[in-house]
Amino acid sequence: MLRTCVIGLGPIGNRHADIHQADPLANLVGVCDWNPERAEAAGKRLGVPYFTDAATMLKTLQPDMVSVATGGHEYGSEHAAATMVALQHGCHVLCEKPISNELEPARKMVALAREKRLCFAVNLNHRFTPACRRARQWLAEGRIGIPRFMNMAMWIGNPRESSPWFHFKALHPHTIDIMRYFCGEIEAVHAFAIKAPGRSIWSTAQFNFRFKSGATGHLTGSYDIMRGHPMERAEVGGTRGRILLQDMFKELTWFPHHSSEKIVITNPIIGGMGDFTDTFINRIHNFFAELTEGIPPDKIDGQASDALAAQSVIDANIRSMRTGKVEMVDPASWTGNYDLSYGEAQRASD
Amino acid sequence: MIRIAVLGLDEVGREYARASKRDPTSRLVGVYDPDRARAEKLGEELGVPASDHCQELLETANPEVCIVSPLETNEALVGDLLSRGIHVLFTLPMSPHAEEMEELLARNTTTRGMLAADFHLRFTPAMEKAREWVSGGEIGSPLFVNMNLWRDLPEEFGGNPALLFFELGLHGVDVIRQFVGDIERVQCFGVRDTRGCFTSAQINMMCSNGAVGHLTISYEMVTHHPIARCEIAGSRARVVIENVYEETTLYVHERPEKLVLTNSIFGGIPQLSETCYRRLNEFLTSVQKGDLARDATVVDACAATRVMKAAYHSAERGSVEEVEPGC
Repeated sequence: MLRTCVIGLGPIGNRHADIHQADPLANLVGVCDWNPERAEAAGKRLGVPYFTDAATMLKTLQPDMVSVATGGHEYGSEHAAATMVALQHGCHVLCEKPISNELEPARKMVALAREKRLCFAVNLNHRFTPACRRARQWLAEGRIGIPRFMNMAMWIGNPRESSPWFHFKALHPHTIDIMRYFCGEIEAVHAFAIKAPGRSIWSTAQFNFRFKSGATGHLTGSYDIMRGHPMERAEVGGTRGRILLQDMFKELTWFPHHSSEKIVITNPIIGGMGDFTDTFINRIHNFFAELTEGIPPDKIDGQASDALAAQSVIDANIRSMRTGKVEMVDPASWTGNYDLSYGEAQRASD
Repeated sequence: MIRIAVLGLDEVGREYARASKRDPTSRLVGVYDPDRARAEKLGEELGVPASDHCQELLETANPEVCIVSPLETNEALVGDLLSRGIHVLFTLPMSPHAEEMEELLARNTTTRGMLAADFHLRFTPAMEKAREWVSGGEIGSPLFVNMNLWRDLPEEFGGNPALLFFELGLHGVDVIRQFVGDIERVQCFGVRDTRGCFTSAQINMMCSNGAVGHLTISYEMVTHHPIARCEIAGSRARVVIENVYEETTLYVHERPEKLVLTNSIFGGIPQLSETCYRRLNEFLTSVQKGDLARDATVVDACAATRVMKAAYHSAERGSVEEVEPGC
C-alpha cells in the first residue's frame, strides 16, 4: 500500500485526495495547502492530518507519492516549487497539468526527477480511457496504415482572462499529448488565433502541425464554448483507413479503406466509463499501479518528459503567434516515448 | 427546352451529363471528350450524339448551354463559347490562375453568354439550413470554421502536383467562404506522394470577418465512408454539417438539447450526384430568367482560386501567405 499525500487543495486537489482515498493501492496520509482554511477543511473532510507547509508534511509523514495540484498563474506557476520539494524528499510525483507555465522550471523538474531516479508523471488524463487505448492499439496494428493527417479539437468555456496565452498553456497539454500519443513527435507548427468579442486573451485558435513522420496535424482549441455538448474529437487518417475518437471515451470508430463496414465501439452504460471524473481515477490508479509494480521511471506512462514535450509544442505555437511564421519545435524536447511502427512488420508480410 | 452539351467527361462531367438527361427543362444534345472511347461510352449510355471533336459537336449540336469540365484548352474554349452567346457552367478545376479566370469574368460582362462555376456541394438543404442559422445570427459572433473534404485518387490525377488544391480544395474553401467570407492569410502543411504530388494538406486560415478557419483535404481516403464534415462555431452556438447533406446539427452552448436536420429517405438527397442535378437546375433557372447577376459563383471561384494558390505556395515554401486581393 502506497503512502500518499496531496499538495494544493483547490477543487482539483480535493478530487485527487478523494481518488487516493478510494483507490485500493493507496493510503492517503496527509494533505497540504498554504491557505490554512482550505487545508483544515480538506483535512477534516478527509479525516487526515493537514498542513500549510509542504516540507513539514513530507518530513513528518514520509509519503511514497505526492499529487501536486497547486495551480497558480496560467494554472501552472506553482507546480514547480511543490514538485521540487516533493522530489527532494524522495517522493514520486504526479503533477497536474500544465507541468509548468514556463519551460525552464519544467526542465528543472524533469532533470531533478531523473537525478533522483524517481517516477514523475503528469495528469494528462484525457487519454487514460479504454477507447483511447484501443485507438492506439489499432494504430500500432497498422489498421489505418501510415498516418497522413490528424485532426483534433477541444473546447471548454473558461471566462478567466489571466494571461494572453492562458488558453494555449493550460488547455493544450491534453490535446497535444493525445496527438503525440497517436502520431509521434511534432516538428513544426503554425498558429492563427483570435480574441473572442469581449475577451483580452487568445481564446480561440487553429494550430497546424507537421509531425516528424511527415504526417500533418491540425488542432482547434477554444475557451469560448461552454460544456454540455461534445467537447473533444480526434481523428487520424492513414493509407489504409481512418479512426475517429469522440469525447475521449464515448465512441471509437474505425473506417477501413478496404471495406464499407465500419467498426464502432461505444462506451457501455454498464461497466464502461461513467463520466469525466473516471479519466482522473484511471490516470491516478495507473500511476499507483506502476509504482506498486516498480516500473522504472523512464518506462511509466504519461511521464513528465512527455508533458514537457507538449509544453515545448505550445511554446512553438506562441512563437508562431509572435512572429507570424511557421516555427520549429525544439528537438531536444522529443522523447520518442510514443513512437509506433504502425504495423510495419505486418505490412511487410502482406 | 434548353439545349445542353457537356464538354469533357471526367467524373463530374459525366454526372452533369446524366443530370442534364434527367432535367425536364432541358435536352442533352451531345457529349464531347478527347478520349473517343469515353465519349462514345457515355453517348451510348445516355442515347445522345458523342464526339471526340469539340468544334464538330458544337456545330452539329448547336447548344445554348455548355457544361465544361477540365480540358487542356478550356480557357480558350470557354472564351469562345461565351463570345458566341453560349452560357457556360464550368466544373473544377477551371484554371489554377485566378488572373485567367478574371479575364473570362471581365469578358462575361461584355458577352451574351453567362458564366458560372460548379460548386455543387453548396446545393443541399443541409447547407441551406446551416447558412440560414449562421446568417441569421443563431451562432452569435463567428469564432472558427473547420472543413474536411477527402476522397480517393481521382482518375484525372495524372501526376498534377497541385490538383488537390485546385480541385478538392476549391470546393472546400468555397464551403468555408459561404460562412465566413473572404480569407486573408493561409498557412499549409502538405503530404506528397513519391512523384512529389500533394495528396493531403492541412490549411490554416485567417478570415476577414475575424474568425479563424481550417481546411483538411486529402486524396488518400475512400468514398464508401463519409467524405466531408463542416463545423462553424460562434459565441452562442455551433453548427455541424455531416457528409455534405446527411445531417445538420445546431448545438446551442447553453442548452442541453440539440437541433438536428436529417436527410430524409423520401424527397431528400439520394446520392451526391443529386447535388450536380440541383446545381444545374439552379443555373438553368438563371439562364431562363436571363438574370446574369443572379449567379455570382465565378467571383467566388476566383476568390477560392486565390486562396488555394496561396495555400499551395505556402506548402511549397514553408511560409505563411497573404491571399491576393479579389477581383
